[in-house]
Amino acid sequence: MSTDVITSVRTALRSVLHWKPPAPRSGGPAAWALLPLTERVPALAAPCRMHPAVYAIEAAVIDWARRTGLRADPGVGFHRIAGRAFAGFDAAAAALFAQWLTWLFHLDDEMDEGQGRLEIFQGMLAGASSHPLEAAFADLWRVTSARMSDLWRARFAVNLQRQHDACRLEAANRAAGRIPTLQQYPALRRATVGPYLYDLVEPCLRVEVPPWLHGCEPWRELVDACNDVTAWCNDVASRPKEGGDGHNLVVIAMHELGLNQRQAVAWVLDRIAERCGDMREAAGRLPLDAFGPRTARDVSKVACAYLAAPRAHLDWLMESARYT
Amino acid sequence: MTTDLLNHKLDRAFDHIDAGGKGVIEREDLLGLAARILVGFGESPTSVIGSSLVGGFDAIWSALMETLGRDGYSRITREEFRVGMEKAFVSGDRYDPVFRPAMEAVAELCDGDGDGMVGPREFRMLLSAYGTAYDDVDEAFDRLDRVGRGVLTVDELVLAARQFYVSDDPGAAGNWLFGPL
Repeated sequence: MSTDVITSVRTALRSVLHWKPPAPRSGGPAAWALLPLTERVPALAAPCRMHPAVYAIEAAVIDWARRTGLRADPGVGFHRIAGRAFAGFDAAAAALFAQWLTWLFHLDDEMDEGQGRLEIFQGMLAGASSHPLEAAFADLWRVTSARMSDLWRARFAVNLQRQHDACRLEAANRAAGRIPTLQQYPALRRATVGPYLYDLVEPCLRVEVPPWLHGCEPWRELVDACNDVTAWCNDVASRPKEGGDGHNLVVIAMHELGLNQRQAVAWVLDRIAERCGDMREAAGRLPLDAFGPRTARDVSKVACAYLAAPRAHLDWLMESARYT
Repeated sequence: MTTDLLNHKLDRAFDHIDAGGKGVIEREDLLGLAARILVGFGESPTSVIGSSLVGGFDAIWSALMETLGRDGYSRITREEFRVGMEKAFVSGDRYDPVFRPAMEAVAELCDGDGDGMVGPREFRMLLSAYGTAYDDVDEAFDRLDRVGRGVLTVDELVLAARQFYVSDDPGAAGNWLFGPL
């Protein structure tokens, strides 16, 4: 990996870590409001298949977490969301994604609850491994980035920077008591959710989507729509525990459209259903015939993981103890 | 005992799965074919039809591995694929309970409006996923559309799949399912 890319990753990560990210989007019983989607949206109709080696994936995550000093709470079940999203692929793919999720949520918790976090992050950025988060990030980055091109690493860094910028804007909004508009919110939310999560699908599957495809409108629309569907489902599930924070599509709909809570949730479900339709339409427009058979197959694997993600996330929201 | 014709078709089926030309295939390769088919139609693996298709392909792989006495994560060669397919689905009794449902899911995916018919556009999308050359698709369609209606029924497509994968009849229309042999 080039020095420039290492520097850009560290700079972007440093920026993210110096700004407090949004509070965890907690769910609980509110997630049940999403259930009607499974009847009205064809793409959400069937429960996600679970990876047949889900227990081996769980064991791999627990073992990795112990080695790096992190917790792997079985009730939270990151292995179960990864096991669903990667049900058709090898267990190592799902385990790596679950390890990234475990790290990201620990980072989130550390930002919210940890003491002296800046010292910890300084060590992590310097490549130290005295804190579990430092060791875990170094381990994941080593395994993940070794498989990928500099272009992919640069994209990861750019998306870290996007998250930083969005978190900064959210913090400014909160300080000013400002609520984003319905027009502003989708792009902001796509960025605060951690857009590099979508980049991680490729190394987990040991493939790399051709760079020019990332610039194609259907691919961008597929990723954006997938991001919107999962983020807005999370908004519905987390709203009761967010204390009225304005960075939530249900709250914004209530504020801007003058809806009551029930009406706003229904309005958001309509938007989610529309974006599910956009996902299908975008996937169908991917220029798969422009690739040779092997590349088309690799691209399809990544796209299929995106298409499966909304239901995998929905199933996880219903069962995870993290938000109850 | 398989004929040269059937072996030839099974080799073609192996090539459909082995998109990278590695000479060996594993579960992920077959599910990769399923992914290619689904994405071509914009279908999610978590729709009813998408779930049936992926589950069907996974069941085919499981039956193959069980027949060969291998675990589900094994890699198999072209020769092992032939042997497994013959034992499980040609001379064996697993075609109707295992292979046919997967082919029904594929055919129903091609019938987007649910009218029981598959048009040339959908047929081309399907064969593109299997890697059939562009210029061979129309001939394949015409061979299967024996009465020249311009459409295939879902049932005809399912029957063609059976003929392709298990029939040694050189006159079977289904031999043309994926283009000229």
